[in-house]
Amino acid sequence: MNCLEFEQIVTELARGPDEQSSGRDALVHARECNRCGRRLAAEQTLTRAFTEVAAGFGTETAPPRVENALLAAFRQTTPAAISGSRGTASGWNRWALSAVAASALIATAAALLWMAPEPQNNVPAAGIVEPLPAAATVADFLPLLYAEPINAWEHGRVVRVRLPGSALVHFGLPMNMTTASQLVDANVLLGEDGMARGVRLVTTAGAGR
Amino acid sequence: MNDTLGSDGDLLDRIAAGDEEAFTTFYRRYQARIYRFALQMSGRTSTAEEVTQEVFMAIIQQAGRWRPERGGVPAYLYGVARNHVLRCLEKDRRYTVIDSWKGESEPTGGEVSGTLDPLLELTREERVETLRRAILTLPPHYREVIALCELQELSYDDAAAAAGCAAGTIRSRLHRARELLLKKLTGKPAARFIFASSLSGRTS
Repeated sequence: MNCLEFEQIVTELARGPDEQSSGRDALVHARECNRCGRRLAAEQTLTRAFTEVAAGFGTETAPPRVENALLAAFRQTTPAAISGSRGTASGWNRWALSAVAASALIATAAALLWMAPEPQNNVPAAGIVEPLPAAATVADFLPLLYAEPINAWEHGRVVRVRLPGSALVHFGLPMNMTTASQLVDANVLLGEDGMARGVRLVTTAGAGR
Repeated sequence: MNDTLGSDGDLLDRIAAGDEEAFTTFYRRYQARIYRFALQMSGRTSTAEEVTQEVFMAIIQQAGRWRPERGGVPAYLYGVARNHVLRCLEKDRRYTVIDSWKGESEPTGGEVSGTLDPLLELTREERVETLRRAILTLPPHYREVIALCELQELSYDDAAAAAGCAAGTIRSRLHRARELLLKKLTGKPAARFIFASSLSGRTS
């Protein structure tokens, strides 16, 4: 074995016993070549140091608040829980629940409207499903929390929905108390799986596109 | 993993069906490994916490997505964690500049001849801290093979499944990553005082 061949297996040699003939040849070479001997010694020292570093992480665990938050989310996102303890939702878990509920409603509406006759005019009305224009960008959609990133999908649709102003707060949008009861139009970005990815307010008919 | 509390596959099936106890068991079985991996990759507890949360949120939402033919559950979880960690690192990269690695990203091999004997003269805490810092300065694709193969002790096949590449790629990256670490530990000024005595014994 020469130094070049030794270099190719020195990592394996340092990480553990190598019973192959190449491993035995490498050890013989390391004894005969000072440079490769030191190389192997350095790699073996590194291996031992890795063991110590790994052991140093041995006590690291996620804090209990992570488990608590995940369990709360679990209760809210499973079908049984959605029909059960909705009233106890809190914090970011409420966002997850809202997103799931909104997605389900929008998907249902989209399915119904998909089967409905096409509208007779070109003005987008509330609830109409529109293919995403080729030149459209998703950058101006406000991403929904705990949904896939809106730039991760390739084909999607935009659904026009009409919401009470009070619903805006669920999307993290500012809400004017004086107009909370008024209806506002919004475009909802749906991924290929029918799940909502983002939302965008429409200030005037067709202006939000 | 398969124990009296149920195999991973069984637990994932039960999680998909809404079984909270199964989720708790599954979370407690794997949370520490995922948290440590994210911590080893990022060096930040806040990132590790965020990544752990994201990984298990993905399990809550898509427990049925795991396919046994594509690798074990640990590899699947590490793969999800890896994607989130890399996303966090990319996000952080916009704001922080880590130690420059100009000229060191593609080691040519055979350049490392200094020994690390002085590393053994440090206290255990000093050794651990020195190496931890060095690992964090590696480029992410080298850092992840160190974290997966050396610190998490995954096999090449499992690491490959997690990283979405071939086992041979993991092997060669690991070789290069270790080489980078050795160069860093034996050649950088900050570490030179630690390894000075070994440098005089280099062959030319």
